[in-house]
Amino acid sequence: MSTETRLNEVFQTVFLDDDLELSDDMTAADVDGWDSLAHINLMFAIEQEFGFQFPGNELAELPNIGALKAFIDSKTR
Amino acid sequence: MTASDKLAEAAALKREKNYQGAIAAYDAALANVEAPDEKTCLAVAQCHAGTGQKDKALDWLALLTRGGDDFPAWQAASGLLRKLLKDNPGLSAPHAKRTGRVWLTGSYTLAQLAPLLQLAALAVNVNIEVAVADYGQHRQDALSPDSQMYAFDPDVIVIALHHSDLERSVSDLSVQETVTEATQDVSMIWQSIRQNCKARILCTNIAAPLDEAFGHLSSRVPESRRTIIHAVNNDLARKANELGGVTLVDVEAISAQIGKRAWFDDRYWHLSKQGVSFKALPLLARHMAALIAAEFGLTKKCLVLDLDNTCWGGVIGEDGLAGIKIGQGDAKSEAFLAFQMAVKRLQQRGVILAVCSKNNDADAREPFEKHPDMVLKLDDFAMFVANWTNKAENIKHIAKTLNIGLDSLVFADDNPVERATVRELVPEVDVLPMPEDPAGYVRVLGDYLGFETVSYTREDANKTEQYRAKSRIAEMQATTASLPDFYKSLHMKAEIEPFNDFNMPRIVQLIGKSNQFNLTTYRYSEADIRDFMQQDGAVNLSLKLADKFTDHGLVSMIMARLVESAMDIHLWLMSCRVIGRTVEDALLGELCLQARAQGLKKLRGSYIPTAKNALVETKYADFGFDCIAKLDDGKTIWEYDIEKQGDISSPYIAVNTRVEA
Repeated sequence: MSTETRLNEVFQTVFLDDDLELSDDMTAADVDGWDSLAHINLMFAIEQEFGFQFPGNELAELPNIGALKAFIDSKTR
Repeated sequence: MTASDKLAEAAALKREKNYQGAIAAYDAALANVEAPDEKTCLAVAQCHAGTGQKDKALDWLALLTRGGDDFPAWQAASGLLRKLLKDNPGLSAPHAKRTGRVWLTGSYTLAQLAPLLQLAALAVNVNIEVAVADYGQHRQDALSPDSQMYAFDPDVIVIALHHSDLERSVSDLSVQETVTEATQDVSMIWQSIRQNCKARILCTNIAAPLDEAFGHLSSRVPESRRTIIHAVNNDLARKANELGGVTLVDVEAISAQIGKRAWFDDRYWHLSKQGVSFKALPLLARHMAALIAAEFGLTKKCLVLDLDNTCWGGVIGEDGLAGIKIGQGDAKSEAFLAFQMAVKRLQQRGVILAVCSKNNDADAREPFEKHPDMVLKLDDFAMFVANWTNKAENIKHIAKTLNIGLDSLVFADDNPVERATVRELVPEVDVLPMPEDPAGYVRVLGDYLGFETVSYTREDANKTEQYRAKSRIAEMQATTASLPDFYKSLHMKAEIEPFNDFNMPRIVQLIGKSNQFNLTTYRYSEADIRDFMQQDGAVNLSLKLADKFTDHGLVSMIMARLVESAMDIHLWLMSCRVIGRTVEDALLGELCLQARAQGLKKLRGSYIPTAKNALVETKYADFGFDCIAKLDDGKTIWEYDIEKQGDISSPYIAVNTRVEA
């Protein structure tokens, strides 16, 4: 499965929304329920799915989904 | 098609929102799967929620908690649970037996734990509503009578402690001062909760962190962090025993179980004060839920065991006494031996045992009587059922004879077909997921949390004997000519005394778990009971029963008080194991004497129907009480004129009273 598909499934699980479809220019503000609580749950779920650890609060620094995908690829390649 | 192909097909149908089709596909793929993993359970629950089958969705969410401890799956499942409950006011889990309000507070972020706790409670048949405080609020909340915590009116207050609590003043204080201060801090919180509300308290001890400056020397050095934490934990246990009504969650033990490297995650601690890693949260939630269930009186009572390939290797009817595998010498025999020893430890703690085996009775008994290496003996079992009837029927028979609910039975059998049959035909029974290799049996038993209990009393240690006496008596009853002769032959003796510090734990336990002989089924905490004891004209009687077979211990109690010039029976219950012995006559008789000593002429009592107490629906009528009111909710109110109708007494029980009239 591609990074995109796997990430999409992670988001669907964390936000409990089967209709959630990610796009590169999406930001936290575009996703319903992406608050500080969901943020930390999401961070854990991504780390577990892809098997790496975000340094500090790197996830919050990433501007959008496109940047997140690129970051994941850089960590897992 | 392989199983994983079938699952992929089901997932694809779910993505297309063909939920009906997906459910059918999941059913086909999971037909032979005993414990589907948590992610699959989540998907199936979502499909059922999608088709509006809410009860089924809840069943799958409950099943998910047994499938594994993946945090994202649990988090999503608890989100679905909350959504279902929110969208369907009044929806309750199909098997829920208790409901309660839980306030979660403590020294670290608990926002993630709260929904998981609700999910884990669902799986042990408790419907809870959870509210969570900001971390570090527990002191203020406990000390201030008008805090949000008390305004929430919780039934249970859960307090989660963290080792960082001890680091505030380590440098200024001596070791002893640190320990004393930490323990007093916590017990002060407990005490002020006790003064301000009636909630039960569930409090963790402290999990010692990984890093230890003194290393291997730490246990020999009083000022090492680990030694201090262990000292605090010991003191907390002592304080909890002194105070009563506090249940400790042993996180020092469960953090070791999952491994401290998994339990602690420093990144998440620094990022958002997660005192326990997400990886470990489902485990913590399951343990807390088990203890909440135990607080509510739902502890399982009886382990029902298969014999062949469960208690020993091989088939006694075919392999013979010398051929079965049990004892020292080879790995398989030792694995069965280890399992028997683990079962024996449970039995010694008060879990009652029963055999349910497809065998000829004589064959099944032979190893217990003749094999030198058996740890379990016939005397360890309250009931021994070996025949060729199906196990579902035999299990029902066991529950009926021991007079306990089917939902207090746990079943262990190596045969997956028997397990599936029992799950299907008697779904109230918890069925243990025994692995193929007997070496794994002990761990399955250790991981099972249904036997968790919040108290241990003398009555518990003696339980097998009491239940054995019961099945022996059932036999004797069948052979004695008349019931009166039989009861006389038992030489029953009762001792009636008021509630006191010594019998209080047992009284709290009985109030929590008595269902059948329970006229009003009020579930009171120790604090409620102590409040009641202060009321006008309050009479609290407890009764211990012994007969020629056994000492049954404290089996019945009445709480009554003065209401409108009558002795008003508020709570009256009796342990099922002595039903039919006229214990109620003896206790009611004492209440008559107490009422008259207060100058009262009447007894009054109410019956509130529940799903389980039909047994006592006519109890007051049987004693000649007049029904004076029938309320819309089914409650009936009864009165007895002592002066006109006379005192009540038991024809078979010699009563020794230790109550001042």
